[in-house]
Amino acid sequence: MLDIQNLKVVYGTGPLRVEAVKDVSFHVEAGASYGLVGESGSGKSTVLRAICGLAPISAGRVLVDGQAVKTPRDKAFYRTVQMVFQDPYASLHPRHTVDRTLSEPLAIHGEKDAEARILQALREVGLGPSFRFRYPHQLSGGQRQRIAIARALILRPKVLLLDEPTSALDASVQAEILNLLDELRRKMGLTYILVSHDLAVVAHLCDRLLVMRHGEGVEETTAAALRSGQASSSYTRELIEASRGFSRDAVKATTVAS
Amino acid sequence: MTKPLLEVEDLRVRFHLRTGTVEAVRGVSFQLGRERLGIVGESGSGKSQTGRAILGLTPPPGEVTAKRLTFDGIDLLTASRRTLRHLRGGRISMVMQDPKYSLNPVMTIGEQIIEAYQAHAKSAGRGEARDRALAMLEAVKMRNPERVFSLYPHEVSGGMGQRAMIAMMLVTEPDLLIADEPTSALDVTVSMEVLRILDELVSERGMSLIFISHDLKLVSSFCDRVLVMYAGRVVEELEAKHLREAKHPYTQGLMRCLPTLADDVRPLPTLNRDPAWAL
Repeated sequence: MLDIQNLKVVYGTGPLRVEAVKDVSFHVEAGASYGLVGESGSGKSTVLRAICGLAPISAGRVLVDGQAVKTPRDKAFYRTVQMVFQDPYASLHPRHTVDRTLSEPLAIHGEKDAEARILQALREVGLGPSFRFRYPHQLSGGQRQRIAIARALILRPKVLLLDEPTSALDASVQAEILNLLDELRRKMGLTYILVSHDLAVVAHLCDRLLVMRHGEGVEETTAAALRSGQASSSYTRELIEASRGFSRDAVKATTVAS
Repeated sequence: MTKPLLEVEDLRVRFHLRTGTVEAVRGVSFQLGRERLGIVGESGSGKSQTGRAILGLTPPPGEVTAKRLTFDGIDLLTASRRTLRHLRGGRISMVMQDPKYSLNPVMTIGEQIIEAYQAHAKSAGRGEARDRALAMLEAVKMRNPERVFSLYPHEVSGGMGQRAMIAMMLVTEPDLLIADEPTSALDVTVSMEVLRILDELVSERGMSLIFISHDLKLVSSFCDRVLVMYAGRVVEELEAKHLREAKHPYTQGLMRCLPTLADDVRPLPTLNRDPAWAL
């Protein structure tokens, strides 16, 4: 479904030149869920942004359904690929009602029957029709993220790019959104690429994943391997250790080692 | 634990707004000795306002009342501004969430630590303050303290900025440190490093610590005792090592709804909020 070959993203020129992504390749099957994990500055979000045209592809190729993407992306691309952003407080227009937010993609793509589609989209993300004419400030964080997911799904895309979809949410709300994403993928046969710094979230939602650091892939592994604590690189092991919480035994281990 | 360092009884923080009065903290009571106390809750539970009220940092128009709010025998509610100024940063320090917003962007890190030190050790000369600042930067594991000393906050990474904050807050050797989400803005591996440093300093210097966080798992692995807050109240207080035996359904729900690497539960159990919890 999605093929990333030797992707490189460069910002700026001369002394300001930054290679945000140096060389990343991976392949995602249709209907699969793929995770990108790493610390801030590792280039994981930039990969997503390069796929959907928000960052330049400086070298390498991005193929969707076997076709190299065009720059700028055409309408057909956005019918296939949609994105959900990290911060639901920043990604919804504060002066647009839910109805207007959801009708915009339909209008751009000349879809008919907007009313029924909007109500259906709200139903799919577990919100009733009463939410249709609310403004973002009248919604909680979790409800906003549901609207952002509804907006991404209203064009019936095949691929959903998820950039830290739950990191701005409380733990209990995160569980609700993760369950929703899980269920939608099964029901609609969606393909996901999920970016997160939280190993447990990625292992929950994805089958395969790429650990990134400094703009490069460190290790491609599976959720099953993570769960059993297997990792070939020391960096991945460090991440697994850190995700288990703070431990005083680890303190001793590292102080002895250093 | 003979006499508690901090006593809080029936602490309330109210905000009188145009739309009515919002009570963010509704009768919180606890005592703190030489220990690590965690305060956990979701956004809006009043955990940060509790920490701020202790330091007298409740933003206006907030109003703080309590039956008792004493630090080492000093009543914090009736204390003069002068006494409070002396306590804040001197005997009680606070580490905030994001070093990007809490460090002065136009002062070098070294100057800021010196300023904090001299504000409380009035007689200290510049040379002595400088030595203390460098020693403190070394204590928070800066690889090259001399270099970091002369850097501006924008020139260092988030993890280094947070360690610089901790250095600045601990240079006066406070008795109580309040850390409000000190690692939430940091990457997991970096945050473990910062916690390790905090842990070492707290146990070496015999400080008391209030650790405020939304992350129940992290708090329970770091603290001795945990207060779980919901809607402005403490719904449960327990020993961190007995977290698994939590009785309150909210604490149990918070524990269960986190995805873990250890086991694969799907769908994740979600939290059904009982309106009675907020009563």
